[in-house]
Amino acid sequence: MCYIFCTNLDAVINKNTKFDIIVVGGGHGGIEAAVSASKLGMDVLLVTLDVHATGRMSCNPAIGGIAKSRVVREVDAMGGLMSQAADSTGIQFRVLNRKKGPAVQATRSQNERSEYEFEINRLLIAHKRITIIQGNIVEIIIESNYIAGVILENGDEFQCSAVILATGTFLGGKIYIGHNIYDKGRIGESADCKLSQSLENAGLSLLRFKTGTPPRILRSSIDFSATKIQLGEEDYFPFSLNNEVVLPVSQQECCFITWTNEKTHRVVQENLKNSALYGGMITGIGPRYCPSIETKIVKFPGHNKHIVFIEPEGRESVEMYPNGISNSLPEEIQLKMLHTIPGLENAEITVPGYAVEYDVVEPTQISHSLMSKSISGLFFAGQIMGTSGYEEAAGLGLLAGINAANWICKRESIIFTRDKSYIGVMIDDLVVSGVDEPYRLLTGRSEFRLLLREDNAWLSVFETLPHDILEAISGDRYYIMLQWYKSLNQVREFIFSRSIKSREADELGVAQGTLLKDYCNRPEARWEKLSRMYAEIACLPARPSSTLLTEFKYEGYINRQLRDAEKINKLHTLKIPVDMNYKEIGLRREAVDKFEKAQPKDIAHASKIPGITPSDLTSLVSAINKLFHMKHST
Amino acid sequence: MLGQSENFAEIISHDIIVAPTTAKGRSAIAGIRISGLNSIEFTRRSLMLNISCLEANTAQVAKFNIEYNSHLITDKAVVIIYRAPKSYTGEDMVELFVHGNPLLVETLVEFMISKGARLAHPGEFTMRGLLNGKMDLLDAESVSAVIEARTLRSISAVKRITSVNRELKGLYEKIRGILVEITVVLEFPEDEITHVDVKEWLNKLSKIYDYLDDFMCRARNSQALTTGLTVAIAGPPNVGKSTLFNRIIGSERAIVTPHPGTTRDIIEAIVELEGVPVKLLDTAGLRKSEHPIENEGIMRAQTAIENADLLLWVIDSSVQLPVSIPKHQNSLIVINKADLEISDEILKKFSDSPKISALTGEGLQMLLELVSHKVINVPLDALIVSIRTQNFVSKSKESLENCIDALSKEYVDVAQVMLEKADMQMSQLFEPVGCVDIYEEVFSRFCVGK
Repeated sequence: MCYIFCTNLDAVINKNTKFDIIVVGGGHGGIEAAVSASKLGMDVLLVTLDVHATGRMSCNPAIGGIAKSRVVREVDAMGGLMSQAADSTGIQFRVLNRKKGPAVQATRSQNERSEYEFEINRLLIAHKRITIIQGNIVEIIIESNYIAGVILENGDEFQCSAVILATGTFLGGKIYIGHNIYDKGRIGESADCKLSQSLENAGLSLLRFKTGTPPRILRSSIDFSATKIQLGEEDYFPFSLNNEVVLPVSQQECCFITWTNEKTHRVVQENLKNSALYGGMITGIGPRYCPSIETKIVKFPGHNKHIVFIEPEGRESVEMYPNGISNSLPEEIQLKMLHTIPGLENAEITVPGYAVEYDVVEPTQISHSLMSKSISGLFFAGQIMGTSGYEEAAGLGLLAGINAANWICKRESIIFTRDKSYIGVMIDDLVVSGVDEPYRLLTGRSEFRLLLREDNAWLSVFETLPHDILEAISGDRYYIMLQWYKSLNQVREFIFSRSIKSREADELGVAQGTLLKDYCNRPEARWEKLSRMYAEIACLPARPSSTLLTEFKYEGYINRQLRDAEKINKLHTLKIPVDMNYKEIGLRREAVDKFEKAQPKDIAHASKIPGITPSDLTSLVSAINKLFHMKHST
Repeated sequence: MLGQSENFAEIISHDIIVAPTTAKGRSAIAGIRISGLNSIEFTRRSLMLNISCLEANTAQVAKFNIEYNSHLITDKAVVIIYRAPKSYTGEDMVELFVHGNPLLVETLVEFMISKGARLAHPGEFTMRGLLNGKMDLLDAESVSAVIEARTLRSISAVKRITSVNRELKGLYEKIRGILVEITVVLEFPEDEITHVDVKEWLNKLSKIYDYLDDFMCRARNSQALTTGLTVAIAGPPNVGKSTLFNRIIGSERAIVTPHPGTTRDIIEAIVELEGVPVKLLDTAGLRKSEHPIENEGIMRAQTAIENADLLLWVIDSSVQLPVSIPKHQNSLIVINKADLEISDEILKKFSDSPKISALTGEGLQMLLELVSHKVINVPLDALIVSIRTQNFVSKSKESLENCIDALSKEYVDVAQVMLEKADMQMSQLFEPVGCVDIYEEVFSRFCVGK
């Protein structure tokens, strides 16, 4: 009953080998975690409930989008699999917000669902240090606050130095379709993960979240003539930086747009009591930015229509995915509702929509390295930390893999500051402020979003990670970045030093003698012109070029954010002693409780704890100063 | 504004606080305010008030009866009861009006403290009102400005701010509204809920910018109303500067003798001219002196002259030409001792200067009108706002300017960042604790997300 992909079969059968890291969960987070750790020399055991479902897209068949596309590119620069699989299995590409500025521009792909899964697995099993088994982990073994191993449902025990939990919606997962409830984390699969009790026994407190997905529809039952067609685009950069090939529009699939109407809303209204969400069965908190159709109708009674995107599940797939109408209504009501929507009058459901409820570990119990604050060696990634989304999971998984390996090897953790990475912003938000709904990245999450663009994701990663680690995890991609980095600096220097000569002035529309840099600062600056005119510039590949041009165009704004970031990063240098006694520094009770619970590392973290006021911080800073002087005067 | 955290911790609790509400001193009536959870019952019991009616907003005369330091004190008070949330602090509250004997007021307050109440921190009643949503920060600031305003005209300028508060709040809401719209467009570009209308946004934002700009001008003009203006009386010795000073303030503040060099240190008094507070300085006569104290006085006089908004250079009718006057941006030559004979030469030379007699008061009214004219050019619509408010409005204005600039280049992403800053700075005026989650509003106004 145990499916195994591995080279060290002995280890699994005889259980005589201690793995470095055990990853629990084979989704987008678990896979990136296993791969990044294995690249850093770790022997990894990946335990999944269903070895045939590793890398599966549970919800919409798409990767990227606002803020998330930058995460995919950060993952890519760190050698992740998601970007590669998204590129090679993409069937439509679009660039959102193309005309609204580089900081909000975002690439998104529609993907062939089954192929994506296949591709991820192909990339995954190429890593020989990863052993994959099917099993349900029911207990984590802790010895004097250190993780020591795991116990499977069948009684098997495995020892390890670190565990990465990436259980997704499977931890205490419950699926709701109307009044029917099933103990599982995804439809069509066998079981839920029964680890919750063990985590609570270990002193971790859990939250309950909810998410949902729409029904899948038989493609042949849809009347596409009643819908609006949405085409793809070919002017985009593939997600992976070692992939230059774009998919021509002629080879791309279309999406289709339709709208709900008052009839649809009446069906939902009349059946709210049968909806798991509104019938009182679900207590978990759902995401505001991804509301179910029931929520949309209840919250916005004045709206007479809601948009529905009908997305292909694949080129040859018999199914379509109606994005925007996730629900937990009984199947027959789902059908009745669909039949009110133009184009879906005769729709047939292949898989019903459903809501899923699952357990989340309250993320304020986790440190910035993604390791538990109380149990050494226990790491987390993805929905178990309160996030939602494939990209968020992949980013956290990748970092958890690196940091688990770093912890085992006694190297310093990789922690991105908020001005360097959306993964860093996400981790900081989660572990400092906690969550009260599934957390999704949005550009507005980052106060330094002008610095966090799709075009410079590679550069931020390149400048943050130690090069030995980056080389180990990124492989070929590291050498590309190294090359880009060098040429980018050369071209930047050229632009700074060169002034425009008379014969060039007309073509660029500026006065002779103007610095080339000043031309680049203008909103109308065009890179194509520059690379046509100067061989020194033409040598720079397209992607680092777009990084550089944005740097110049946004120079003033970027510099301002860099200065702001520097101020915040200075607050990070005001470290709070580990043995700080918050009770004795004249703080109010509430602040003491909050600081004690959050254990902030420095004043920057302390300042972001919800409910902490400037005066609390003043007291804290003066207490730190006092301690500092006391130490240095004795 | 919150002070130390300990104070803040006390302030956000609901314990009973007490304080006199009228200034210390003998007067007909003095007020005491008690606020907090169960403060009505607390007051009734501790003072053994024989009030029959516990209804809110009624004034009733009641007898109180206390024993303090083995003294029995019985008197009458007017008692007004307020019930939460309909009170200044938003809590249960009592106001007592007793006979205006400072000792009585002090004893009553001390007695109530001994019974478990706490002396209110300065501004704490207002702070509680603020925290209980009875007013926003701007209102609270104008309350303290009303208390501190020195003249009637200042008070009307402070009162004017209350209507401006509403306007500022309206602008803040408009900024927030546009920010939410831009945010929806950027974060949920596919939901086709709002369309990008850069022109309309630009139009609205420019109007808000213009208003803030005007606001800042009016606020700057108002500085005279709060910090006051300084008029220095200076001149050679023995020309009657101190006599003039005393005449203007209407009391014998400065010592007047026939001896030159009587005034040494600077003497100050505040007078009201056309509703504007003016600080009047009497200075030592300027001359060469051997006396170290007088020399120190002369140096001080010179500094005072430099810093004054107006220099009144006094000479007398016996002055010898030519007259040397210290350089000053705004000065007025006053010929004193007009009751004595003035030579034709001086009359001709200083034909425009006011001729007065500080001794008799002759020409004084004219002089004061001239002084008013020279120093007070505060427009009637000046606003008194705190430095804090000016600071946030001006920062918000700057961010708005950057936003408009970016938007006109179609850098929508930058524009949103700048508008978020403007919004954040404005929010400091209205949200006492923490900032509001912009997404809260995004998701409540727009149905977005797939």
